[in-house]
Amino acid sequence: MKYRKYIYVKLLFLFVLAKCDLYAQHTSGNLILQFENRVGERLVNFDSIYENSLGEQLRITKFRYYISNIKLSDSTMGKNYKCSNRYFLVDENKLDSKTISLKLPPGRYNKISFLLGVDSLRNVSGIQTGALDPLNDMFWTWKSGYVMAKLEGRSPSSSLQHHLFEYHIGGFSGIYNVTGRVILSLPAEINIVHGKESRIVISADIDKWFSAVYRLSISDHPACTVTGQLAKQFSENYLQMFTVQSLTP
Amino acid sequence: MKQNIPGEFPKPVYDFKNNPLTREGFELGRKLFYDGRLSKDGYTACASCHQQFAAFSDFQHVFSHGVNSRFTRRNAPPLFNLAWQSEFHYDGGINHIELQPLSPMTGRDEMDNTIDSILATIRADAVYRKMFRSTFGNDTINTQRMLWALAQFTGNIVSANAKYDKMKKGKAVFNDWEQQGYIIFKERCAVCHTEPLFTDFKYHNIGLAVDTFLNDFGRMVITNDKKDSLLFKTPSLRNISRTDPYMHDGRYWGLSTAINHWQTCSPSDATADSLIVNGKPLEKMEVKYLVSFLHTLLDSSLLRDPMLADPVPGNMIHGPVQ
Repeated sequence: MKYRKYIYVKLLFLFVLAKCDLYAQHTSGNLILQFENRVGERLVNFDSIYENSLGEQLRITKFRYYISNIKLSDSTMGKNYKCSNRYFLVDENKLDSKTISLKLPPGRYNKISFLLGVDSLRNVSGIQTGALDPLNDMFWTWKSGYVMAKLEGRSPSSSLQHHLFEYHIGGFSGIYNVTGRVILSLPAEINIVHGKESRIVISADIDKWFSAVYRLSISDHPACTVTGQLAKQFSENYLQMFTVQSLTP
Repeated sequence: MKQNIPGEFPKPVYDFKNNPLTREGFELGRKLFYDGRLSKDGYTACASCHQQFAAFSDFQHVFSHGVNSRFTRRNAPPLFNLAWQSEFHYDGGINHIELQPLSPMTGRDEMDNTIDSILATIRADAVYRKMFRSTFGNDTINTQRMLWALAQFTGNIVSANAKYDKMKKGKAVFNDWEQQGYIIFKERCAVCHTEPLFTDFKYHNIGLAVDTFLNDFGRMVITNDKKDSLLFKTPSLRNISRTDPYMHDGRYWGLSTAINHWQTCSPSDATADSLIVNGKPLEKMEVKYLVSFLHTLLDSSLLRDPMLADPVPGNMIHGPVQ
């Protein structure tokens, strides 16, 4: 009887050990992604006046974009690790939205990639919540689908009322699908270990919206609020806006 | 609560898999549907322009009146059998039943409200708080839950009990005119108005010249494709005798006028459907037979179903939000 009890205790002990081991394998480190929005070199501030590389003056009043499907690839195997199933809306007006906290398995990583926008599945699956809540004013109610990126402001170069410019860039299917994967090589490896926090600061340069691939001046295109070729061109421009600003490996 | 799927109908597009159907959820959706406070002026509910006695269309209105007496740009469609529909609006711009209410709720010519303010109105109401709790298990009131509840109601407006349906089941007999009409219908109309839902859910240009005031080019507005100019979604013919006037802009009054379009129309556009261009005219009597048949598609039990009626008579008009 006593012996049996001993066996039980021992089994229980083994079980606890095994369980610990299981957790050990899944131990993760933290990675902070921080987004810094800029125009050229200067950080965005709603009160400031900027000039884009086409020589147009502008003031920013709204700047938002969706980040999703974040992946990191490890240096040794080149294997992609998908960090999160979540969708993040980076909003210049909301400080905490510019910092994304992720958990990663230990390892060395040298590349980060993410989807700029919301993948097509989420655009056709009915009402969503969280970052994808239409309440966030990033959803078209007359033509179902997410606005993947939004930039609004004023510029003397705009011929619209109050010199407004408005870019609501969306489209999730066909040739005018504006979602795209941004791939950034890290200037140095980050080493994720348990209990440590690494940080990648990513800079988003609004100037790229106007000239990265296509020349899209505010005077020629003060507004783009529907899907189509112009939206696609804007997206090809802004997909170039990200660079790794700094790194805390 | 179980989804109502009439035996002859195909599998529904919307099956409530991600939005489990409950009596509580349905009742919540029903209350929302009839609540004028969801609009900017406090008077305009979903049900203002989707009236049960008109098969949830706007009875005898070419256009509907939204907030501040502003006119809509299209004729309010009737609402039934929506769970079989994968795209909404005459132009198909809305791709999911749950998303559909966002359009009238925020539309300037309709309820002209913001989601923020709608949710604030709901959260301030103790009855709603109780209903959300009993439907979803806790106090959270958000866009998703509101639209899930609405879909539980709108997705369960089912119309399948017209004389036509009874005839199909052998429980009613068509008279001569109705039978003649049915034969003509099957030959001439059923290609697009496919039984048993009486629509193919596709988009067609039936040769309606564009109204130069509205400049509504239909499907093209959504796809940006010239091929889609003046294409509009085929409406169901169920309950059609109650949804006068007809077409996306309500330009025709009376069933025979609408049918006459098919013989007088001159295809005004290169994208006009070949069925229209090559269609042969109907005889006068054939029109009359068809009208008789179309009357057999009226489901009077839908118009009177107490489950679909205003839960609190008079609830619909609340007056301005304080």
